[in-house]
Amino acid sequence: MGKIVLTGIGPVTPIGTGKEQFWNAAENGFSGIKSLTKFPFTHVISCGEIRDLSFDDYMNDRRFRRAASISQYTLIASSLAMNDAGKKMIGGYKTALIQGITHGAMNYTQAFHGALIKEGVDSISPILFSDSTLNAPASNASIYLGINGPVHTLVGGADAAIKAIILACQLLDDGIVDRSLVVCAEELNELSLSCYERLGFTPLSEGSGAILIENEETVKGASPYCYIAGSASECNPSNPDIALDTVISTCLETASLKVQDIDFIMSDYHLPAKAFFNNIPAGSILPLTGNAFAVTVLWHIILSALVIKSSTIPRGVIQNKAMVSNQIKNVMIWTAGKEGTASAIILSKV
Amino acid sequence: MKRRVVVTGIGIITAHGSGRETNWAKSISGESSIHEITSFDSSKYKAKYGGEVRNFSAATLDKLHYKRLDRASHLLIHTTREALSDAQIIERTGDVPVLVSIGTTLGGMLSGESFHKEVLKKGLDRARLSLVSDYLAHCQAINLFKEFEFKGDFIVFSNACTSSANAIGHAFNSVRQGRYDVAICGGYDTMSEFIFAGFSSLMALTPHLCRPFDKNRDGLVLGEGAGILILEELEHAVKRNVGVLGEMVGYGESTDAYHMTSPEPLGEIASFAITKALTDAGNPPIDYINAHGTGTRYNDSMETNALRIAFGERAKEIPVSSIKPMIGHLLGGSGAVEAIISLLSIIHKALPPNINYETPDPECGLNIIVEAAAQDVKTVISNSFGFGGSNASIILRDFQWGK
Repeated sequence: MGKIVLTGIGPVTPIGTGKEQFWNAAENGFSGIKSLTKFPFTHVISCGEIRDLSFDDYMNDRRFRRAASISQYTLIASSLAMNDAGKKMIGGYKTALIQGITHGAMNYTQAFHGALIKEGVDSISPILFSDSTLNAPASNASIYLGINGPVHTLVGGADAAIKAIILACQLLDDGIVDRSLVVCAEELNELSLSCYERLGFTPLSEGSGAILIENEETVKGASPYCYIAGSASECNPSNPDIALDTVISTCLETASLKVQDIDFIMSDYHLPAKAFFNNIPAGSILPLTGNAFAVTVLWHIILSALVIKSSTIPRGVIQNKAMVSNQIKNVMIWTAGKEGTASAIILSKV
Repeated sequence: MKRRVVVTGIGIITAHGSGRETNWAKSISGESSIHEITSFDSSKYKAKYGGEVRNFSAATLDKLHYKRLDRASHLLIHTTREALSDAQIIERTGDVPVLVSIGTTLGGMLSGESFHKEVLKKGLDRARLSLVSDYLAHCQAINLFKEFEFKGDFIVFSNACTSSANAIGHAFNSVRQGRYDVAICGGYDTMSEFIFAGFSSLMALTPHLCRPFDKNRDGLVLGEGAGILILEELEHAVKRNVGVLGEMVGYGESTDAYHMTSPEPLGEIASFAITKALTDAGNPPIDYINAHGTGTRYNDSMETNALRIAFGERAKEIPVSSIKPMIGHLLGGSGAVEAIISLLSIIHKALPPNINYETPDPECGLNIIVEAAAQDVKTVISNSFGFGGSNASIILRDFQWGK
């Protein structure tokens, strides 16, 4: 089995759209967390909003102008990743699209249900309904890109991003497809904001990220960012910390690496209580962007790909004082949740 | 070399009731379990009927306080327990990591509806957070891990009406490729007004009888329920000394990339999924087609076209039926429940009827099973097609040593 390489990236974030803006903000520590402006809220609240993003600037396709924000974010990120990989059209049966998602099109869902309750059956819109289904963003992207291979929406917490990559890799390993587009997207919504705020889970964020992964032998001559060296995922609700320890160990094992081989860690979760992790530089985009669940993990993966490519860690995301190597070969990204879900992935220099 | 994947346990709950015996008995007798909806006020809708699971108690849940959970979790845990018991997993699997591969369209939508109603009534800050704890569509899978203390991982597919067929296909590939020895797979969905109103707004619900492939078909009828299959690598099942119900031999999938709610009318893309599954299975002769057969004009004519492309002239001969007129369209749960009925048709050597079929449609020139028939069914294909253009086909066959 050949290596699976990452050939295209597309971030749509509160700190910038496209890899240049994203990297620049991460390097300089620009924060995207500001007061909420998208809808009226009961009080002032800070979020990582996507602002000043015009769909028409990125997509010349009128069919999706009325699509939910989450679908539009999905389309823009997918398009950016494809263009970054130098592929105008990647559709057909040998391409997969795997989307990781947590909440879906909450604003259309809320609007549809609200109209049903307040105004009655005759006032509801079929467009709001069809675009509120969890698989609508991925379906819209498949329509736009002409993807006839497997198109899947995986639902989960932050781990959905790594699960989506694992499934995409399996489809490549099994020879079902030649390339897989992995996308994650979220949109801010007043109901979910309220719930998470009451749970002490803020600031939230929105946006999307996409990566294109391919078999190394099919992209000869190209210059990929990195390859996927290992991955692991587990659920252990009775002991979330053990779940994370296990996926880190398994991930290293699948990559045939040791802890000391890891040059940089990106995480949305605290470091495991093991001293040796303190010697590895660790970073997170969360303080700059806010938490967008699976999307945040994909932003970490996108940033890690850029770190490997440039052998530079952006100063604005570093979270500890460990010494930074001048050669970044292996980056580990992990995520874990209170419910016992944990996932990890290692990206390595080609 | 690819490993053989067998089915060692099944669990099912539909409007027919709970358990495989009840579901098979009512399916083979052509009994309709479609009634006027009681879980919400359907009087304001033109269509008022659905396949609701009735007389179901969730009080058997072990570790989780059942009142806190959404009905979706209740249905899923109930059927998983039945499937695990059937496959004697808890007793004999021990610490083996399992893959839980589940499909759903809605997750805990009933909880989401309740929460939103409280928000509108009491205000954003006073609606009970406990109502949304089980809303997200992956919470039900986590609840399975809590209830049964599985070791392993889960994956939740939400691909509209192909969700559980995709979940089964993923489980099949995972076991076949050696990533897991045991997979718990299937799907579920509940009857919710949100989804009922949505399909109503799309004018996809029939106010009459659901009659797939009939010339006078005018829409689908919604249902609810869950279906779980235990897929296991053959040698692993043999070592555990458990009974084998059948074998999964093929899976294919494709995506229309055509329209959010309408299928690609020529059926060319859907036929790719069917052909892929057939090729995957080594092109066995198919004895029965368990159709997606929703009863909508577009789906049934598209499915007919897809079958014609995939099977050629044989498409007119192979017996076809849809069980949706009896139990309704279970959305994310339909692929699993229909795979289970397909397996039962192999076990019982009989074909369930496509009830309410009266007037042949020249556009759907298939061999529709009007009345239940005894037949030596060895290999079955079960189709699922969904919103957003997802297509999936599953092939199951009787289990034979050496093949």
